[in-house]
Amino acid sequence: MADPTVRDVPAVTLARCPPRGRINLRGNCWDPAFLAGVASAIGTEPPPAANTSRPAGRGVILWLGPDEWLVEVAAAAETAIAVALEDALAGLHASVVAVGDGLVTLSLSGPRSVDVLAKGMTLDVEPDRFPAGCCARSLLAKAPVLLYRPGDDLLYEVTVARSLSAYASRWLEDAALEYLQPA
Amino acid sequence: MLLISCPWCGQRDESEFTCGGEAHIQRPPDPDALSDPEWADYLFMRTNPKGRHRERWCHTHGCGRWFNVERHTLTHDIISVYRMGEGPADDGDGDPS
Repeated sequence: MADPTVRDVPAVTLARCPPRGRINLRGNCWDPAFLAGVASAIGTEPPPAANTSRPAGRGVILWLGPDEWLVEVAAAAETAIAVALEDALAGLHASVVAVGDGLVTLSLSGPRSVDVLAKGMTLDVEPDRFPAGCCARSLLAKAPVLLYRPGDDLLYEVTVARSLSAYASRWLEDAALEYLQPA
Repeated sequence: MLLISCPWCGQRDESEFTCGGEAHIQRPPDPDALSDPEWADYLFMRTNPKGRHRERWCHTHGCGRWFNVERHTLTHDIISVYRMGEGPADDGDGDPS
C-alpha cells in the first residue's frame, strides 16, 4: 500500500520516455579482443552476468543474453557510437545494429508499479528480487518486453517494439486504473 | 505450467520458452546412403516415451538460447537442465544419449 503520509505521490505514473538511441551488440564475451573493443568505444566492457547492466559513458549497457547486449545512449549519439563500435570491432565475429527507432521505452513508477507489472508478468519484479540495475527480457501481457530498473526507486522501464507500444501502453493504463481511482 | 531453469537466466515461466522437440537426434552423416524409410525415420519418428524424455528448449523471450531439458512426461518433473554441447548427468539407464 502507498504510504498514507505521502498523499501527493500518485500510486502509479505511466510515461512514454523521449526517443533514445539503442544499439544491439552481439559478440563473444570470452574473447579479450571483443571486450577491449567494446570498452574502447563505450568506456566499459559488456556485463558478463545475466540480467545485469553497467553505466557506459552517459548511457548504459544492458545484458540481453550471453552474447547479446543493448547499449542505450542519447538519441543524437546513436549513429556516432554505433560507428565507433563497428570500427572497434572490425574483423571480429561481432554485430552492431542501431535499433533505437524500432523500440519505445515506457516508464512506470510509483508505489504500486510492482502490482501493475505483476498483473501481466511472470517475472518477480519485487525490489529485493529485481534490484537496481537489473534488466530482463520477458513477456508483459504476451508482448515481448525488456524490463529495466535503473535505480533504487520504484521506477521500471519497459522497452517494447514500436509496433506493440500502443498495446503495451494501453494495457498498462488499464492495469493501473484501479490504483488511480479515488477511494 | 512448468517452471524451467534456463541455464543462463535462472527459473522462468514456461510461457517464455519454446519447445524444440526431442534432443540428441543426430543427422545422418551421409544422407544419400540412406533408404527412404531410413530417412523418414530420421525426419519424422520420435521416441515419445512415457517417462524421462530429453528435449531441446529455447528461451525465446529471455536470453534467446537453446538448451536441453530432461523432463518426465508423466509427472512433468524437470530432472535436469544442461547447455548445448554438455551431456546430461548419467542417470544409470544405460542410454548414452
